[in-house]
Amino acid sequence: MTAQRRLLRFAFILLLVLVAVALLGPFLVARDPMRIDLAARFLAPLQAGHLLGCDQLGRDVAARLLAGLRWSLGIAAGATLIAFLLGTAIGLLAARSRALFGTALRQVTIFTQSFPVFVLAVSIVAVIGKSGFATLVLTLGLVTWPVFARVVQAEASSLFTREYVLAAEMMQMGGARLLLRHVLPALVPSLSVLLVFHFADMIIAESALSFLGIGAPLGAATWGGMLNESRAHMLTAPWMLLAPAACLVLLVVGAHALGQRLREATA
Amino acid sequence: MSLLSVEQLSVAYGRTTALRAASLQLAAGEILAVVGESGSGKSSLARAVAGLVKPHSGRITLDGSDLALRPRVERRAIQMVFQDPDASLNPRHTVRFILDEPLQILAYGPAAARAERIETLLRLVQLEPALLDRRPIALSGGQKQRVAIARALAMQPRVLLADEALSALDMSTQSTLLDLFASLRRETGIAILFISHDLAAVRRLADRVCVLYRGRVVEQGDCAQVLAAPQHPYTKLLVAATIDPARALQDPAFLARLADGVSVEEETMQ
Repeated sequence: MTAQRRLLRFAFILLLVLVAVALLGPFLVARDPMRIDLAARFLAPLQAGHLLGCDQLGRDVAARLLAGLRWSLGIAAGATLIAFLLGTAIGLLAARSRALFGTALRQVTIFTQSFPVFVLAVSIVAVIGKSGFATLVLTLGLVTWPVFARVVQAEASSLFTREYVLAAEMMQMGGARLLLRHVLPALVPSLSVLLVFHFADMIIAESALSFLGIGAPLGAATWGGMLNESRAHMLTAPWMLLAPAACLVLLVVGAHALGQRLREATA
Repeated sequence: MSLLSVEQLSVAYGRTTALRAASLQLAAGEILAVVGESGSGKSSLARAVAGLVKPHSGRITLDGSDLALRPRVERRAIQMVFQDPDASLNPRHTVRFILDEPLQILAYGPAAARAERIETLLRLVQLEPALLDRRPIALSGGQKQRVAIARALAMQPRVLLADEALSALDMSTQSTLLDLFASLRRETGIAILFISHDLAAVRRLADRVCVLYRGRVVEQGDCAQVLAAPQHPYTKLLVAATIDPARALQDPAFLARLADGVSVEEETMQ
Protein backbone atom coordinates (compact mmCIF):
# COMPACT_ATOMS: atom_id res chain seq x y z
CA MET A 1 0.00 0.00 0.00
CA THR A 2 1.46 3.39 -1.02
CA ALA A 3 1.93 6.23 1.46
CA GLN A 4 -0.82 8.15 -0.36
CA ARG A 5 -3.26 5.29 0.03
CA ARG A 6 -2.38 4.94 3.72
CA LEU A 7 -3.02 8.64 4.20
CA LEU A 8 -6.32 8.38 2.38
CA ARG A 9 -7.41 5.46 4.51
CA PHE A 10 -6.38 7.30 7.66
CA ALA A 11 -8.33 10.41 6.60
CA PHE A 12 -11.37 8.33 5.77
CA ILE A 13 -11.35 6.62 9.16
CA LEU A 14 -10.81 9.99 10.79
CA LEU A 15 -13.90 11.37 9.10
CA LEU A 16 -15.96 8.45 10.32
CA VAL A 17 -14.63 8.97 13.86
CA LEU A 18 -15.50 12.69 13.75
CA VAL A 19 -19.03 11.92 12.60
CA ALA A 20 -19.39 9.33 15.36
CA VAL A 21 -18.05 11.80 17.92
CA ALA A 22 -20.55 14.43 16.74
CA LEU A 23 -23.41 11.99 17.17
CA LEU A 24 -22.22 10.81 20.58
CA GLY A 25 -21.05 14.29 21.70
CA PRO A 26 -23.52 14.90 24.55
CA PHE A 27 -22.62 11.50 26.03
CA LEU A 28 -18.86 12.10 25.75
CA VAL A 29 -18.73 15.56 27.33
CA ALA A 30 -21.58 16.28 29.66
CA ARG A 31 -20.71 19.96 30.20
CA ASP A 32 -22.92 22.74 28.83
CA PRO A 33 -20.97 24.45 26.00
CA MET A 34 -22.67 27.76 26.79
CA ARG A 35 -22.10 27.78 30.56
CA ILE A 36 -19.90 30.67 31.65
CA ASP A 37 -17.59 30.12 34.63
CA LEU A 38 -15.42 33.16 35.18
CA ALA A 39 -13.38 31.29 37.81
CA ALA A 40 -12.22 28.90 35.05
CA ARG A 41 -11.13 31.59 32.51
CA PHE A 42 -8.17 30.46 30.36
CA LEU A 43 -7.89 27.22 32.28
CA ALA A 44 -5.25 25.07 30.54
CA PRO A 45 -6.10 21.61 29.15
CA LEU A 46 -6.36 18.65 31.51
CA GLN A 47 -7.00 20.85 34.52
CA ALA A 48 -10.03 20.63 36.81
CA GLY A 49 -11.60 18.01 34.58
CA HIS A 50 -11.51 20.20 31.45
CA LEU A 51 -9.94 18.00 28.75
CA LEU A 52 -9.14 20.85 26.33
CA GLY A 53 -9.17 23.68 28.84
CA CYS A 54 -11.48 26.69 28.97
CA ASP A 55 -11.85 29.88 26.94
CA GLN A 56 -11.86 33.55 27.93
CA LEU A 57 -15.30 33.18 29.55
CA GLY A 58 -14.50 29.92 31.30
CA ARG A 59 -16.57 27.85 28.87
CA ASP A 60 -15.38 24.28 28.32
CA VAL A 61 -13.49 24.12 24.98
CA ALA A 62 -14.15 20.38 24.48
CA ALA A 63 -17.90 20.83 24.97
CA ARG A 64 -17.90 23.80 22.57
CA LEU A 65 -15.83 21.84 20.07
CA LEU A 66 -18.34 18.99 20.04
CA ALA A 67 -21.28 21.38 19.83
CA GLY A 68 -19.50 23.16 16.97
CA LEU A 69 -18.91 19.83 15.23
CA ARG A 70 -22.62 19.01 15.38
CA TRP A 71 -23.45 22.51 14.13
CA SER A 72 -20.97 22.31 11.23
CA LEU A 73 -21.96 18.79 10.20
CA GLY A 74 -25.66 19.64 10.41
CA ILE A 75 -25.35 22.77 8.29
CA ALA A 76 -23.03 21.14 5.76
CA ALA A 77 -25.32 18.12 5.44
CA GLY A 78 -28.49 20.23 5.17
CA ALA A 79 -27.01 22.69 2.66
CA THR A 80 -25.55 19.85 0.59
CA LEU A 81 -28.91 18.07 0.57
CA ILE A 82 -30.76 21.20 -0.60
CA ALA A 83 -28.14 21.99 -3.26
CA PHE A 84 -28.19 18.35 -4.41
CA LEU A 85 -31.99 18.11 -4.68
CA LEU A 86 -32.44 21.51 -6.31
CA GLY A 87 -29.41 21.21 -8.60
CA THR A 88 -30.27 17.67 -9.70
CA ALA A 89 -33.89 18.61 -10.47
CA ILE A 90 -32.89 21.72 -12.43
CA GLY A 91 -30.05 19.88 -14.20
CA LEU A 92 -32.41 17.09 -15.28
CA LEU A 93 -35.02 19.59 -16.47
CA ALA A 94 -32.40 21.54 -18.42
CA ALA A 95 -31.11 18.34 -20.02
CA ARG A 96 -34.58 17.08 -20.85
CA SER A 97 -36.10 20.30 -22.18
CA ARG A 98 -34.83 20.79 -25.69
CA ALA A 99 -36.41 24.11 -26.49
CA LEU A 100 -36.40 27.57 -24.96
CA PHE A 101 -37.12 26.37 -21.42
CA GLY A 102 -33.98 24.21 -21.33
CA THR A 103 -31.85 27.05 -22.66
CA ALA A 104 -33.34 29.42 -20.06
CA LEU A 105 -32.57 26.97 -17.25
CA ARG A 106 -29.00 26.59 -18.45
CA GLN A 107 -28.57 30.35 -18.56
CA VAL A 108 -30.03 30.74 -15.05
CA THR A 109 -27.55 28.13 -13.82
CA ILE A 110 -24.60 29.89 -15.45
CA PHE A 111 -25.79 33.29 -14.19
CA THR A 112 -26.17 32.02 -10.60
CA GLN A 113 -22.78 30.33 -10.70
CA SER A 114 -21.10 33.48 -11.96
CA PHE A 115 -21.52 35.11 -8.52
CA PRO A 116 -18.88 34.30 -5.88
CA VAL A 117 -20.66 31.90 -3.54
CA PHE A 118 -19.32 33.44 -0.37
CA VAL A 119 -20.24 37.02 -1.28
CA LEU A 120 -23.70 35.87 -2.34
CA ALA A 121 -24.22 33.94 0.92
CA VAL A 122 -23.09 36.89 3.07
CA SER A 123 -25.43 39.22 1.15
CA ILE A 124 -28.41 36.89 1.52
CA VAL A 125 -27.85 36.35 5.26
CA ALA A 126 -27.44 40.13 5.69
CA VAL A 127 -30.65 40.82 3.78
CA ILE A 128 -32.62 38.21 5.71
CA GLY A 129 -31.22 39.75 8.89
CA LYS A 130 -32.01 36.64 10.90
CA SER A 131 -29.35 34.26 12.06
CA GLY A 132 -29.78 30.61 12.86
CA PHE A 133 -29.37 27.06 11.66
CA ALA A 134 -32.19 27.14 9.11
CA THR A 135 -31.04 30.46 7.62
CA LEU A 136 -27.53 29.15 7.04
CA VAL A 137 -28.69 25.81 5.64
CA LEU A 138 -31.10 27.47 3.22
CA THR A 139 -28.67 30.19 2.17
CA LEU A 140 -25.75 27.87 1.50
CA GLY A 141 -28.03 25.38 -0.25
CA LEU A 142 -29.65 28.02 -2.43
CA VAL A 143 -26.38 29.62 -3.57
CA THR A 144 -24.54 26.39 -4.39
CA TRP A 145 -27.11 24.33 -6.35
CA PRO A 146 -25.58 25.28 -9.74
CA VAL A 147 -22.60 23.03 -8.94
CA PHE A 148 -24.92 20.02 -9.10
CA ALA A 149 -27.06 21.42 -11.91
CA ARG A 150 -24.08 21.84 -14.25
CA VAL A 151 -22.80 18.29 -13.69
CA VAL A 152 -26.24 16.67 -13.90
CA GLN A 153 -27.20 18.64 -17.00
CA ALA A 154 -23.97 17.70 -18.78
CA GLU A 155 -24.19 14.00 -17.93
CA ALA A 156 -27.94 13.65 -18.37
CA SER A 157 -27.83 15.38 -21.77
CA SER A 158 -25.48 12.66 -22.91
CA LEU A 159 -27.54 9.90 -21.26
CA PHE A 160 -30.76 11.03 -22.93
CA THR A 161 -29.16 10.31 -26.31
CA ARG A 162 -27.97 6.83 -25.28
CA GLU A 163 -29.70 4.17 -27.30
CA TYR A 164 -31.07 2.24 -24.32
CA VAL A 165 -32.75 5.43 -23.13
CA LEU A 166 -34.14 6.03 -26.63
CA ALA A 167 -35.45 2.45 -26.63
CA ALA A 168 -37.17 3.14 -23.30
CA GLU A 169 -38.69 6.30 -24.78
CA MET A 170 -40.02 4.29 -27.71
CA MET A 171 -41.83 2.06 -25.24
CA GLN A 172 -43.52 5.29 -24.07
CA MET A 173 -42.12 4.64 -20.60
CA GLY A 174 -43.28 7.18 -18.01
CA GLY A 175 -40.91 10.02 -17.21
CA ALA A 176 -40.44 9.04 -13.55
CA ARG A 177 -39.71 5.43 -14.44
CA LEU A 178 -37.26 6.48 -17.15
CA LEU A 179 -35.40 8.70 -14.68
CA LEU A 180 -35.38 6.20 -11.83
CA ARG A 181 -34.40 3.15 -13.86
CA HIS A 182 -32.20 4.47 -16.62
CA VAL A 183 -30.93 7.99 -15.94
CA LEU A 184 -30.41 8.54 -12.20
CA PRO A 185 -28.55 5.24 -11.54
CA ALA A 186 -26.02 6.25 -14.18
CA LEU A 187 -25.49 9.57 -12.39
CA VAL A 188 -24.76 7.97 -9.00
CA PRO A 189 -20.95 7.66 -9.40
CA SER A 190 -20.32 11.31 -10.27
CA LEU A 191 -22.99 12.63 -7.91
CA SER A 192 -21.61 10.69 -4.94
CA VAL A 193 -18.14 12.18 -5.52
CA LEU A 194 -19.62 15.64 -5.92
CA LEU A 195 -21.72 15.25 -2.75
CA VAL A 196 -18.67 14.54 -0.63
CA PHE A 197 -16.60 17.41 -2.06
CA HIS A 198 -19.54 19.76 -1.73
CA PHE A 199 -19.99 18.69 1.89
CA ALA A 200 -16.35 19.64 2.59
CA ASP A 201 -16.85 22.99 0.85
CA MET A 202 -19.93 23.66 2.98
CA ILE A 203 -17.95 22.95 6.18
CA ILE A 204 -15.43 25.60 5.11
CA ALA A 205 -18.15 28.06 4.02
CA GLU A 206 -20.04 27.69 7.31
CA SER A 207 -16.85 28.15 9.34
CA ALA A 208 -15.92 31.22 7.33
CA LEU A 209 -19.36 32.75 7.88
CA SER A 210 -19.22 31.94 11.61
CA PHE A 211 -15.73 33.43 11.78
CA LEU A 212 -17.19 36.68 10.45
CA GLY A 213 -20.04 36.45 12.94
CA ILE A 214 -22.64 35.87 10.22
CA GLY A 215 -25.30 33.24 10.44
CA ALA A 216 -24.81 31.73 13.88
CA PRO A 217 -26.73 33.17 16.87
CA LEU A 218 -24.69 35.23 19.34
CA GLY A 219 -22.61 33.05 21.66
CA ALA A 220 -23.41 29.82 19.79
CA ALA A 221 -20.61 27.26 19.77
CA THR A 222 -19.24 27.18 16.22
CA TRP A 223 -15.73 26.42 15.03
CA GLY A 224 -15.53 29.65 13.05
CA GLY A 225 -16.70 31.62 16.07
CA MET A 226 -14.20 29.83 18.33
CA LEU A 227 -11.37 30.65 15.90
CA ASN A 228 -12.42 34.27 15.82
CA GLU A 229 -12.55 34.53 19.64
CA SER A 230 -9.18 32.80 20.02
CA ARG A 231 -7.30 35.31 17.85
CA ALA A 232 -6.83 37.78 20.70
CA HIS A 233 -5.50 35.04 23.02
CA MET A 234 -3.51 32.83 20.67
CA LEU A 235 -0.23 33.45 22.48
CA THR A 236 -1.55 33.15 26.03
CA ALA A 237 -4.15 30.41 25.48
CA PRO A 238 -3.16 28.61 22.23
CA TRP A 239 -5.46 25.64 22.99
CA MET A 240 -8.41 27.90 22.21
CA LEU A 241 -7.08 28.19 18.63
CA LEU A 242 -5.48 24.81 18.12
CA ALA A 243 -8.47 22.66 19.04
CA PRO A 244 -11.02 24.09 16.52
CA ALA A 245 -8.36 24.68 13.84
CA ALA A 246 -7.10 21.10 14.03
CA CYS A 247 -10.64 19.70 13.97
CA LEU A 248 -11.61 21.87 10.99
CA VAL A 249 -8.56 20.77 9.01
CA LEU A 250 -9.10 17.12 9.90
CA LEU A 251 -12.78 17.19 8.94
CA VAL A 252 -12.19 18.89 5.58
CA VAL A 253 -9.18 16.72 4.74
CA GLY A 254 -11.14 13.63 5.73
CA ALA A 255 -14.07 14.62 3.50
CA HIS A 256 -11.74 15.35 0.58
CA ALA A 257 -9.98 12.04 1.09
CA LEU A 258 -13.33 10.26 0.97
CA GLY A 259 -14.24 12.15 -2.21
CA GLN A 260 -10.91 11.21 -3.75
CA ARG A 261 -11.41 7.55 -2.90
CA LEU A 262 -14.90 7.58 -4.36
CA ARG A 263 -13.59 9.26 -7.51
CA GLU A 264 -10.93 6.57 -7.89
CA ALA A 265 -13.44 3.81 -7.22
CA THR A 266 -15.94 5.09 -9.79
CA ALA A 267 -13.39 6.07 -12.47
CA MET B 1 -53.51 0.24 -48.02
CA SER B 2 -49.95 0.23 -46.72
CA LEU B 3 -49.29 -0.28 -43.03
CA LEU B 4 -46.80 2.55 -42.67
CA SER B 5 -46.76 5.52 -44.96
CA VAL B 6 -44.21 8.31 -44.95
CA GLU B 7 -45.39 11.30 -46.94
CA GLN B 8 -43.19 14.22 -47.97
CA LEU B 9 -41.18 13.93 -44.77
CA SER B 10 -38.45 16.48 -44.09
CA VAL B 11 -36.12 16.51 -41.11
CA ALA B 12 -33.83 19.40 -40.26
CA TYR B 13 -31.27 19.94 -37.51
CA GLY B 14 -31.00 23.69 -37.22
CA ARG B 15 -30.15 24.93 -40.69
CA THR B 16 -29.02 21.52 -41.92
CA THR B 17 -31.69 19.57 -43.75
CA ALA B 18 -31.07 15.84 -43.34
CA LEU B 19 -34.15 14.55 -45.14
CA ARG B 20 -36.04 16.32 -47.95
CA ALA B 21 -39.63 15.44 -48.77
CA ALA B 22 -39.07 11.68 -48.53
CA SER B 23 -42.03 9.42 -49.24
CA LEU B 24 -42.26 5.67 -48.92
CA GLN B 25 -44.74 2.95 -48.06
CA LEU B 26 -44.32 -0.22 -46.06
CA ALA B 27 -46.91 -2.99 -46.31
CA ALA B 28 -47.72 -5.44 -43.51
CA GLY B 29 -45.19 -8.27 -43.43
CA GLU B 30 -42.93 -6.54 -45.93
CA ILE B 31 -39.21 -5.87 -45.61
CA LEU B 32 -38.28 -2.54 -47.12
CA ALA B 33 -34.61 -1.65 -47.24
CA VAL B 34 -33.45 1.94 -47.14
CA VAL B 35 -29.97 2.30 -48.57
CA GLY B 36 -27.59 5.18 -49.13
CA GLU B 37 -24.20 6.45 -48.10
CA SER B 38 -23.39 7.97 -44.71
CA GLY B 39 -25.20 11.29 -44.32
CA SER B 40 -27.84 10.42 -46.88
CA GLY B 41 -30.63 10.75 -44.29
CA LYS B 42 -31.29 7.06 -43.52
CA SER B 43 -31.02 7.40 -39.75
CA SER B 44 -32.95 10.68 -39.75
CA LEU B 45 -35.74 8.89 -41.57
CA ALA B 46 -35.69 6.05 -39.03
CA ARG B 47 -35.63 8.42 -36.05
CA ALA B 48 -38.48 10.50 -37.42
CA VAL B 49 -40.58 7.36 -37.98
CA ALA B 50 -39.66 6.23 -34.46
CA GLY B 51 -40.78 9.57 -33.03
CA LEU B 52 -37.31 10.35 -31.70
CA VAL B 53 -36.94 13.48 -33.82
CA LYS B 54 -39.69 15.87 -34.80
CA PRO B 55 -40.15 16.18 -38.56
CA HIS B 56 -39.87 19.63 -40.05
CA SER B 57 -42.72 18.85 -42.40
CA GLY B 58 -44.64 15.92 -43.86
CA ARG B 59 -46.53 13.19 -42.09
CA ILE B 60 -46.23 9.59 -41.01
CA THR B 61 -49.31 7.42 -40.95
CA LEU B 62 -49.88 4.01 -39.45
CA ASP B 63 -52.94 2.22 -40.80
CA GLY B 64 -53.96 5.51 -42.36
CA SER B 65 -53.90 7.48 -39.08
CA ASP B 66 -51.49 10.39 -38.78
CA LEU B 67 -49.21 9.46 -35.87
CA ALA B 68 -48.71 13.11 -34.94
CA LEU B 69 -52.44 13.37 -34.21
CA ARG B 70 -52.75 10.09 -32.32
CA PRO B 71 -51.94 9.39 -28.64
CA ARG B 72 -48.23 8.72 -28.12
CA VAL B 73 -48.90 5.19 -26.85
CA GLU B 74 -49.88 4.24 -30.40
CA ARG B 75 -46.24 4.74 -31.35
CA ARG B 76 -45.51 1.56 -29.40
CA ALA B 77 -46.48 -0.22 -32.61
CA ILE B 78 -43.15 0.96 -34.02
CA GLN B 79 -40.00 -0.28 -32.32
CA MET B 80 -36.37 0.05 -33.24
CA VAL B 81 -33.12 -1.91 -33.13
CA PHE B 82 -30.15 0.42 -33.00
CA GLN B 83 -26.74 0.27 -34.60
CA ASP B 84 -24.50 -0.01 -31.54
CA PRO B 85 -25.20 -3.18 -29.54
CA ASP B 86 -23.04 -1.90 -26.66
CA ALA B 87 -25.12 1.26 -26.21
CA SER B 88 -28.47 -0.43 -26.87
CA LEU B 89 -28.76 -2.17 -23.52
CA ASN B 90 -28.54 -0.61 -20.07
CA PRO B 91 -25.30 -2.03 -18.64
CA ARG B 92 -26.77 -2.09 -15.11
CA HIS B 93 -29.65 -4.41 -15.93
CA THR B 94 -29.77 -8.15 -16.53
CA VAL B 95 -31.25 -9.61 -19.71
CA ARG B 96 -34.26 -10.74 -17.66
CA PHE B 97 -34.86 -7.19 -16.42
CA ILE B 98 -34.36 -5.74 -19.90
CA LEU B 99 -36.99 -8.07 -21.37
CA ASP B 100 -39.38 -7.82 -18.42
CA GLU B 101 -39.48 -4.01 -18.47
CA PRO B 102 -41.49 -3.65 -21.71
CA LEU B 103 -43.87 -6.35 -20.52
CA GLN B 104 -44.45 -4.44 -17.30
CA ILE B 105 -45.11 -1.28 -19.30
CA LEU B 106 -47.63 -3.18 -21.40
CA ALA B 107 -49.20 -4.57 -18.19
CA TYR B 108 -48.74 -7.96 -19.82
CA GLY B 109 -49.80 -9.87 -16.73
CA PRO B 110 -48.50 -11.45 -13.53
CA ALA B 111 -44.85 -12.43 -13.10
CA ALA B 112 -45.45 -16.02 -14.25
CA ALA B 113 -47.08 -14.90 -17.50
CA ARG B 114 -44.28 -12.44 -18.13
CA ALA B 115 -41.64 -15.10 -17.47
CA GLU B 116 -43.35 -17.37 -20.00
CA ARG B 117 -43.43 -14.54 -22.54
CA ILE B 118 -39.74 -13.85 -21.95
CA GLU B 119 -38.97 -17.48 -22.75
CA THR B 120 -41.00 -17.21 -25.95
CA LEU B 121 -39.11 -14.06 -26.91
CA LEU B 122 -35.79 -15.77 -26.28
CA ARG B 123 -36.85 -18.66 -28.53
CA LEU B 124 -37.86 -16.20 -31.25
CA VAL B 125 -34.42 -14.59 -31.26
CA GLN B 126 -32.68 -17.95 -30.76
CA LEU B 127 -31.07 -17.19 -27.42
CA GLU B 128 -30.49 -19.59 -24.53
CA PRO B 129 -32.48 -19.03 -21.29
CA ALA B 130 -29.16 -19.40 -19.46
CA LEU B 131 -28.34 -15.84 -20.55
CA LEU B 132 -31.24 -14.34 -18.63
CA ASP B 133 -29.28 -13.49 -15.52
CA ARG B 134 -26.30 -12.03 -17.36
CA ARG B 135 -25.62 -8.36 -17.79
CA PRO B 136 -24.84 -6.96 -21.25
CA ILE B 137 -21.10 -6.87 -20.54
CA ALA B 138 -21.15 -10.68 -20.43
CA LEU B 139 -22.78 -10.97 -23.90
CA SER B 140 -21.25 -10.97 -27.37
CA GLY B 141 -22.22 -8.29 -29.89
CA GLY B 142 -24.57 -10.67 -31.67
CA GLN B 143 -26.21 -11.76 -28.41
CA LYS B 144 -26.69 -8.12 -27.40
CA GLN B 145 -28.35 -7.37 -30.72
CA ARG B 146 -30.63 -10.39 -30.30
CA VAL B 147 -31.62 -9.16 -26.83
CA ALA B 148 -32.32 -5.72 -28.35
CA ILE B 149 -34.51 -7.38 -30.98
CA ALA B 150 -36.33 -9.40 -28.30
CA ARG B 151 -36.90 -6.23 -26.26
CA ALA B 152 -38.38 -4.54 -29.32
CA LEU B 153 -40.59 -7.58 -30.03
CA ALA B 154 -41.80 -7.59 -26.41
CA MET B 155 -43.77 -4.43 -27.23
CA GLN B 156 -45.67 -6.44 -29.89
CA PRO B 157 -44.81 -3.94 -32.62
CA ARG B 158 -46.21 -4.01 -36.12
CA VAL B 159 -43.19 -2.27 -37.59
CA LEU B 160 -39.57 -2.96 -36.67
CA LEU B 161 -36.97 -0.37 -37.60
CA ALA B 162 -33.49 -1.85 -37.94
CA ASP B 163 -31.14 1.11 -38.16
CA GLU B 164 -27.79 -0.26 -39.36
CA ALA B 165 -28.46 -3.05 -36.88
CA LEU B 166 -25.82 -5.32 -38.39
CA SER B 167 -23.03 -2.89 -39.20
CA ALA B 168 -21.19 -3.24 -35.88
CA LEU B 169 -21.11 -7.04 -36.10
CA ASP B 170 -18.72 -9.49 -37.73
CA MET B 171 -19.68 -11.15 -41.03
CA SER B 172 -20.85 -14.48 -39.63
CA THR B 173 -22.98 -12.78 -36.97
CA GLN B 174 -24.43 -10.49 -39.62
CA SER B 175 -25.38 -13.52 -41.64
CA THR B 176 -27.16 -15.25 -38.75
CA LEU B 177 -29.00 -12.06 -37.85
CA LEU B 178 -30.16 -11.64 -41.45
CA ASP B 179 -31.63 -15.12 -41.20
CA LEU B 180 -33.20 -14.10 -37.89
CA PHE B 181 -34.91 -11.05 -39.43
CA ALA B 182 -36.24 -13.24 -42.23
CA SER B 183 -37.57 -15.83 -39.79
CA LEU B 184 -39.14 -13.14 -37.59
CA ARG B 185 -41.03 -11.81 -40.56
CA ARG B 186 -42.20 -15.35 -41.39
CA GLU B 187 -43.22 -16.21 -37.83
CA THR B 188 -44.71 -12.93 -36.63
CA GLY B 189 -45.71 -11.17 -39.84
CA ILE B 190 -43.92 -8.05 -38.69
CA ALA B 191 -43.01 -5.38 -41.24
CA ILE B 192 -39.35 -4.37 -41.19
CA LEU B 193 -37.75 -1.13 -42.32
CA PHE B 194 -34.20 -2.32 -42.82
CA ILE B 195 -31.74 0.54 -42.97
CA SER B 196 -28.33 -0.39 -44.25
CA HIS B 197 -25.47 0.58 -46.49
CA ASP B 198 -24.69 -3.07 -47.18
CA LEU B 199 -26.24 -3.95 -50.53
CA ALA B 200 -25.36 -7.63 -50.19
CA ALA B 201 -27.43 -7.82 -46.98
CA VAL B 202 -30.22 -5.84 -48.60
CA ARG B 203 -30.24 -8.11 -51.65
CA ARG B 204 -30.55 -11.15 -49.39
CA LEU B 205 -33.27 -9.84 -47.09
CA ALA B 206 -35.44 -7.11 -48.59
CA ASP B 207 -38.54 -7.29 -50.77
CA ARG B 208 -38.25 -3.70 -51.89
CA VAL B 209 -35.53 -1.08 -51.70
CA CYS B 210 -35.57 2.67 -51.36
CA VAL B 211 -32.41 4.60 -52.29
CA LEU B 212 -31.63 7.83 -50.45
CA TYR B 213 -29.14 10.35 -51.72
CA ARG B 214 -28.46 13.66 -49.96
CA GLY B 215 -31.75 13.41 -48.08
CA ARG B 216 -33.89 12.66 -51.13
CA VAL B 217 -35.47 9.39 -52.28
CA VAL B 218 -33.94 8.97 -55.73
CA GLU B 219 -35.23 5.52 -56.56
CA GLN B 220 -37.41 2.81 -55.06
CA GLY B 221 -38.94 -0.41 -56.20
CA ASP B 222 -38.61 -4.16 -56.18
CA CYS B 223 -35.25 -5.02 -54.59
CA ALA B 224 -34.01 -7.50 -57.20
CA GLN B 225 -35.13 -5.23 -60.03
CA VAL B 226 -33.57 -2.04 -58.67
CA LEU B 227 -30.27 -3.71 -57.88
CA ALA B 228 -30.16 -5.55 -61.22
CA ALA B 229 -31.10 -2.56 -63.36
CA PRO B 230 -30.64 0.66 -61.42
CA GLN B 231 -32.11 3.74 -63.10
CA HIS B 232 -30.74 6.65 -61.14
CA PRO B 233 -27.03 7.49 -61.62
CA TYR B 234 -26.43 7.39 -57.85
CA THR B 235 -28.00 3.93 -57.56
CA LYS B 236 -25.82 2.79 -60.45
CA LEU B 237 -22.73 4.05 -58.62
CA LEU B 238 -23.87 2.42 -55.39
CA VAL B 239 -24.44 -0.94 -57.09
CA ALA B 240 -21.19 -0.67 -59.03
CA ALA B 241 -19.28 -0.01 -55.81
CA THR B 242 -20.21 -3.42 -54.40
CA ILE B 243 -19.40 -6.86 -55.63
CA ASP B 244 -22.13 -9.43 -55.87
CA PRO B 245 -20.11 -12.66 -55.58
CA ALA B 246 -22.68 -14.73 -57.44
CA ARG B 247 -22.73 -12.36 -60.40
CA ALA B 248 -19.00 -11.66 -60.33
CA LEU B 249 -18.15 -15.34 -60.64
CA GLN B 250 -20.23 -15.45 -63.83
CA ASP B 251 -18.22 -12.58 -65.32
CA PRO B 252 -15.32 -13.87 -67.50
CA ALA B 253 -13.45 -10.53 -67.28
CA PHE B 254 -13.57 -10.66 -63.49
CA LEU B 255 -12.36 -14.24 -63.41
CA ALA B 256 -9.53 -13.36 -65.79
CA ARG B 257 -8.39 -10.51 -63.58
CA LEU B 258 -8.46 -12.79 -60.56
CA ALA B 259 -6.39 -15.33 -62.47
CA ASP B 260 -3.85 -12.56 -63.16
CA GLY B 261 -3.33 -12.21 -59.45
CA VAL B 262 -5.64 -9.27 -58.64
CA SER B 263 -7.02 -9.81 -55.15
CA VAL B 264 -10.71 -9.60 -54.37
CA GLU B 265 -9.98 -6.56 -52.17
CA GLU B 266 -8.24 -4.76 -55.05
CA GLU B 267 -11.08 -5.71 -57.35
CA THR B 268 -13.56 -4.26 -54.89
CA MET B 269 -11.60 -1.02 -54.72
CA GLN B 270 -11.86 -0.65 -58.52
